[in-house]
Amino acid sequence: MIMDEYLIKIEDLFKTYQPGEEVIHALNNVSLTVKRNEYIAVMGASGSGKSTLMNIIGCLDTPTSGRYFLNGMNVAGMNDVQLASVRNKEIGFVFQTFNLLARSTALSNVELPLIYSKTDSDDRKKRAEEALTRVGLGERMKHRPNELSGGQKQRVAIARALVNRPSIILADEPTGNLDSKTSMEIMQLFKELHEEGNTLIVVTHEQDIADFAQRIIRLKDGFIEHDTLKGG
Amino acid sequence: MRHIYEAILISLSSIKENKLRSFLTLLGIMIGVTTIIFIHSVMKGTEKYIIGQLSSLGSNSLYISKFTWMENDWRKEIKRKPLTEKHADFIRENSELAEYVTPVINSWGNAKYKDNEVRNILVVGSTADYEFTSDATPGTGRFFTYSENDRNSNVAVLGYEVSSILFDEGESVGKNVKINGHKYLVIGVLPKKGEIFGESLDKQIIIPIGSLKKYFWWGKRHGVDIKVTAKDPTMINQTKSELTSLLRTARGLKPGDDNDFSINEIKQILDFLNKVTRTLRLLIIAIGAMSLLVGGIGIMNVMLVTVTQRTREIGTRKAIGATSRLIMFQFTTESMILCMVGGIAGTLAGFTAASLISRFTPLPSAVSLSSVIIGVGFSALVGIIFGYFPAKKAADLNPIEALRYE
Ligand SMILES: Nc1ncnc2c1ncn2[C@@H]1O[C@H](COP(=O)(O)OP(=O)(O)O)[C@@H](O)[C@H]1O
Ligand SMILES: [Mg+2]
Repeated sequence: MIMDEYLIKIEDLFKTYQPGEEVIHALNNVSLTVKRNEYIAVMGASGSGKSTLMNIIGCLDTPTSGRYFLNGMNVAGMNDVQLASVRNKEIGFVFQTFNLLARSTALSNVELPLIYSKTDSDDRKKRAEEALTRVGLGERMKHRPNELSGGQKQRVAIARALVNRPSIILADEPTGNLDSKTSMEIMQLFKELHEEGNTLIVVTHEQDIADFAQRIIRLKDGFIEHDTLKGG
Repeated sequence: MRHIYEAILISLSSIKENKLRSFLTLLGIMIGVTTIIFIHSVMKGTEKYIIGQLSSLGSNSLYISKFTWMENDWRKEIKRKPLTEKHADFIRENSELAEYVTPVINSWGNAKYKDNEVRNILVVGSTADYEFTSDATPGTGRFFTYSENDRNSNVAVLGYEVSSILFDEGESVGKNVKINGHKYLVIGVLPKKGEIFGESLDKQIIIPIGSLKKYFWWGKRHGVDIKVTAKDPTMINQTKSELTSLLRTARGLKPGDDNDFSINEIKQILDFLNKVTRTLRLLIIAIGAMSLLVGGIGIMNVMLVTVTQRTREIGTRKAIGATSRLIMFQFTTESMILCMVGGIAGTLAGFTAASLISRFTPLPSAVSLSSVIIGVGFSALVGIIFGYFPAKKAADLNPIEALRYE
């Protein structure tokens, strides 16, 4: 099948809101494809539709119209259980505000996706430990979020996104709450993850952050203004 | 399994984090369960106690009297003609099914020996067969004879307590006591009988009925009661019908006339007490149910607050792959655990209250597995029912809106 050539294929995507009289096109006729092991930065002014696009790709939101295929599967036709399974196994989400469970240790936070995928407990612990070690937190597994710095929290969140070996990692302004030094460390980590074969889409509005990526998609008022491959 | 474990940990830690709030919320559940457990234990104990007490009275006895026991229309019954010893004789001569028939008069008096005195003693006047209708064979000495009875002799059989207050042990038989100033020869002492409903059975004196009539018959208008034992305890109902028709003949009642006497049995007391406790139990269960309801509403409120406070957490869980059903399960379990903590506390409080009651009153309490199951089970049920709506609200959250929630 032709779909299998692409990890993601999006066609004629619209997302419209109508809070009052006027209609807002958060996404306005977006089409795009993503191949495996691509590293994409999504840029654009605030309100240009970056988060909306990420949420739809991450199966947290549904488009008003258009088609979205992930790994050849038509996401539009899925029910709650199937969507939950896709979010669990195919997608690793990293948020600007980390969104860790405050009462759980780093290890428990990273174990959570494995619990939802019904991984047995020995395997779960081992994989969560591996993921935390991979992001450089092998010594912080038993810490709770309030005992960790911002950069460390984001590393836990990245470990959580990685742990179920998803097809794609989505990060919506992952460095938005971090200082520039920590931001660079996190971007270095993303670069390594890309080199290890992961597919990444990272939203940012800072050029030096976007420079880590191979391809930059620039959104404006809900449509794709530029889609450029670096060095291409 | 892992989800249940996680839900238990989360609920316990949120109880710990919000101690005061949890306590106030659980108070309703606790009071409800405490009430139910307490009442259940006391009722169970009381039931056992009553049955034990009544069975000591004998189940093959019938008591013919002017009044019906427990539930009567006394305005009507007080106008009845008194029963007499003649009726007892008539029954004794004509009944096929009765074994012993004794007229009985109950009265009150004081007894004195030298400087020792006992006041407010039950003085029973009856015939020689009273020994058998009332299980009154003396432990020392003997009961009075038919001829002593016929001669209205001043002889007395003392209850255990009367004897032990008036005399040194083993000294009483053969001595003369004064009952309300009248001299009586002690011929026997009953063995210790204990008490029934707090009333001592050892504080009584039995004398021949004719002798009683001479000195202490305070209730002449009441007449006598007639105590009858059946030859065959399994034929108690047939015996009752036989006695009814004999007495109707003796009284000269026409067919269609109401009985102008009552034939009572122990079972009536049991039935009456059962009816009272059943009503009481329903009432208390209603109170318990009300406080569970109030407690449940409290739980629902707290769970709604919890769901709101943890909106982002719910969004995160969904983003990571939790299904709506799982979120639903998590919050329902949390609510259930929360209620069960209240339920367990209530169960313990209920048992404590019940055992305090049985220590300081004659009412015993029985701790039973069924009350634990009822207490903890009900609170769990309340948790599930009242946790449903908040859990549904959590499960239905849109993940994006939940994640964006401040
Ligand atoms: N739930 C919503 N209701 C109404 N408008 C919305 C909603 N979500 C997003 N929008 C609008 O859609 C547009 C794109 O938003 P968003 O994707 O969050 O932008 P970005 O992430 O690029 O800042 C904005 O104009 C925003 O106001
Ligand atoms: Mg955004």
